[in-house]
Amino acid sequence: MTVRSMVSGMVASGLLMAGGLACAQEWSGSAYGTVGYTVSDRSYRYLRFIDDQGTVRKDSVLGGQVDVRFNPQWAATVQVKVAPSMADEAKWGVNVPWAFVSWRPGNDWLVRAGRQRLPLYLNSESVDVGQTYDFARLPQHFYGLMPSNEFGGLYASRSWTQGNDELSVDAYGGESSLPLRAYTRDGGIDHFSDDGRYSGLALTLRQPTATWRVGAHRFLILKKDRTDMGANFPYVDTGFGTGYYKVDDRMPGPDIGRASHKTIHVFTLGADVELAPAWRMVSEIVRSQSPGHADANWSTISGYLALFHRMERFTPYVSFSRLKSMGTMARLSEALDNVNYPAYMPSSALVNQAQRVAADYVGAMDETAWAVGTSLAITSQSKLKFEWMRTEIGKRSAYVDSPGLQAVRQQHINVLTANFSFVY
Amino acid sequence: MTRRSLWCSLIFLLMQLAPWCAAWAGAVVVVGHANVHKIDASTVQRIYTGKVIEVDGVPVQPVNLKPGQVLRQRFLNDHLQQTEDAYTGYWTVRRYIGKGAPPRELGTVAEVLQFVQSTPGAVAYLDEADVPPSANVVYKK
Repeated sequence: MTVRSMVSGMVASGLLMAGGLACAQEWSGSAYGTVGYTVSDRSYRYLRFIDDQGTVRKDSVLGGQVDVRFNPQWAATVQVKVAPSMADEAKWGVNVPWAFVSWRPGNDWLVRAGRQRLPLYLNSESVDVGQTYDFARLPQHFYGLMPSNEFGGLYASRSWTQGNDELSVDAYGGESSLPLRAYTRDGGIDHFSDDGRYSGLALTLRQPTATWRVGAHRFLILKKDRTDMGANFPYVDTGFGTGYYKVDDRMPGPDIGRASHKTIHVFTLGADVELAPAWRMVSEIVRSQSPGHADANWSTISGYLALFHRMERFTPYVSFSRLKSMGTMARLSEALDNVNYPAYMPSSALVNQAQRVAADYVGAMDETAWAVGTSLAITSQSKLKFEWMRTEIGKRSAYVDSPGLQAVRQQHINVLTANFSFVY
Repeated sequence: MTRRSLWCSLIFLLMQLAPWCAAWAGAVVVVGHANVHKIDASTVQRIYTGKVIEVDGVPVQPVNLKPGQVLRQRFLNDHLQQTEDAYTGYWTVRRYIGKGAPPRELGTVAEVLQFVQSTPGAVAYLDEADVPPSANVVYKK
């Protein structure tokens, strides 16, 4: 998010709140936060901030929300949060995840207009509010896939009730700036942003002892300046078993195939089920895929399974998660990494560097993680959480800032986390 | 029997009688402004969980007593089958997923009565003993 858009968002939120409070029937404020410390057993950074030096930046967040009710049908909400900046590794930033006006024409309909969160996963809408779940950190092989799940636009929900069951259909459409971070072995950290246009449907069934959600979403990614993006990178055969992928227009070879945008289709399935009294199982799976056959297509599958057991104030859990890139995305990343343009060829160092940088920007993933943790409900509004996670890096992971010129692969990372979350 | 043992016996007797005394407290009834129609148990639950905002075309405005008050705990237990912690947790999630804020909270029964009488669509709960003769009782278990 740029400074300009952040400021304009906050000004708009301020005006919305000022106008809202002036004619509000009632208003209420609330605050939430997490103070967390996490450390790993590796010197390189994992999940942006985590290394063996320890950090409070991975999970710490502070937010406040004002809800204004004009009458039973009309209301407005603004939420502001302070968290590590998405555009700078060293800074903290102010963000406005929610700033919307809502209208309920009747019991079954809810319409929202403004800035809001995508109804992607079971905890997508309350991802920053650690008090609302027992995980020390929501599984990053799942929830970490989208760098930002906020958008400005329209959202409509229709619900049906049958006994104690409630079925709802959520539909939305809108757009947002998408802050992105890439780490390349040759250039270090690069922050940039594209534009995203989002639309989708989510079907949610809430029962007294279970919640089920299935969703289909379409994301369209465009460059900020609306220039084309690389889609197909031709292999340039230089003879004698040598060659490279043309990933830069300045390299010799046929033209790079280009596209005006990238489309990603996302299908989600989630369940939060009480298996027996005090025993709960939560599992979600997501398949995201670009249509067509371009080299730069996105293709991943990820999921997790977690089992919770409530014992008075303690809720220990164990979870397993998996994230894997597939199709052309995985193949291109592997192929780029395997290029070793011989030193006797002209500009070989530059060619090899270009292959590494391109491989890092593809952002392929191959990770598995086990986690054991517990939450301790101190009060009804605060929780202390601890977790030990062991991640196995397979062929490669874009979550790892690999030191040196060799990508980290076939390694494990142990991560310890302690968090305190609260709401008021 | 010493004076001390007499006191101990008396306290023990009172502790045994406590559940009976609680049972003697009046039932928790749901009252509404004059324009609110009769409702059923399911509708009471849905009003206080934010799922219903109108009943028979009348927009409703529920009010709660502040957390910790005995009458509120009895209402949550008797009519919503929830504990205070579970109810607070429910509204924490609902608020932060953009589905609205919990009902307005008032500090005393007198404030509740005042609100119900003066606000069209108001819905509240009272101990049966506190219900004035003119009140519109919309649900009684």
